[in-house]
Amino acid sequence: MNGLLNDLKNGVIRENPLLRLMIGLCSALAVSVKLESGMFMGVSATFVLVMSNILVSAVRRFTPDNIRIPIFLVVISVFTTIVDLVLKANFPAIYARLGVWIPLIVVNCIILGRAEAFAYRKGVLSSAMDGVGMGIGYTMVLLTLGFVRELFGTGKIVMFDKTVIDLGPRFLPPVFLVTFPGAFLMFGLLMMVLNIATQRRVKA
Amino acid sequence: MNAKTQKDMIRFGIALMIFCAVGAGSLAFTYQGTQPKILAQAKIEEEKASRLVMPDVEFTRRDDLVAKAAAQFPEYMGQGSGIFEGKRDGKTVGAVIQLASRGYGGPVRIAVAIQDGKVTGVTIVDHKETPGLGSNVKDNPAFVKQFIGKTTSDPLEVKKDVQAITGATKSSRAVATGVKAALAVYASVYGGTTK
Repeated sequence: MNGLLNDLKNGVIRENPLLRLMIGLCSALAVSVKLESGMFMGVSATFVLVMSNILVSAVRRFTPDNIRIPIFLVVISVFTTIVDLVLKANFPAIYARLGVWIPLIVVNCIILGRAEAFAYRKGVLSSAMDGVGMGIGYTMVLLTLGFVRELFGTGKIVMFDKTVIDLGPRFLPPVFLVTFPGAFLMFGLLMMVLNIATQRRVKA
Repeated sequence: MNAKTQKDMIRFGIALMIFCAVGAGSLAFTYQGTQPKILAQAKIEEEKASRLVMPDVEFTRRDDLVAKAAAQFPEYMGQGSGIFEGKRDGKTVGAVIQLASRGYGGPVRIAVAIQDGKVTGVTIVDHKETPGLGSNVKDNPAFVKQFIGKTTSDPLEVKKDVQAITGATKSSRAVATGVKAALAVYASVYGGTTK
């Protein structure tokens, strides 16, 4: 039981895919312009991650070693296409905004990386937990980045066509934050915050 | 090639084939479940402009009429134009004509609702006019309102019966000629009335 909990917790902070393993950054920086996009991207990637981890782990005994990568890719692209179709049918506005990043989940390093490094060697339950944990870690970073960049870059947070937070007309938003350089800066700051926070814990 | 690698190749091929077949099967299943919804969403997106000028009706796309009108008015009924027939309680109440007219910065796409030969609403779908000047044809709602009630017998000319946006005569004229063309298209395909 403890082992499973550890598998879950691993991806959240200690091996956070974005802040610690530093993989899958490209799409993460691109979609985190808005809180809403970050949320949908996080949920979509988590779904694909968990499902592909489970499936890869379940069939690992029938997977010939030499062709495991093509098989992982087939599994991942099936789940990505499912997400793609479901989003397109139910949330067309968000689908239009996320654009090419949803189909590109297929080549997201986090998912292939976890299939290869974890799910292919471990049991189904552990792999599922690893997927959930990594997904939470990924989504948390997207939400934080999306929140900060949208709020301070545009002056307000809009979710499902409703303005949730508005800083008012007196706040002049630095548009820089919603551009790519702004994404790099915010990401760097977030890494710094995490490093400082975990360093302190080690000392104590 | 020795016997082992040959056997391996067959084994790998079969394994990959099984994975792909199962994957394709589950995708076909998802596709069938989501396809009607995706098509419905595409229809809503396409009718969005029409719905703005003619609310509370059921739209039918009349591509056959578009082809006819395109032959007659090639300048206006180019790619992306459309004729949407509006039905309420089973009766055709009018049509929305979407067309493009040449503006100052590029094509001005407009949707014109026409009922019984009379304009009942106009909206600018898309344009590339100068921001702050020509863009007012869309941003100033009073501008398109003046077209309501126009018929084929109106001149629809700037300075005659159309009040132009200051500093944007060309953009204003584009909308006016667009509305005039829409009335002409309507008259040509419906002979003056939809009833």
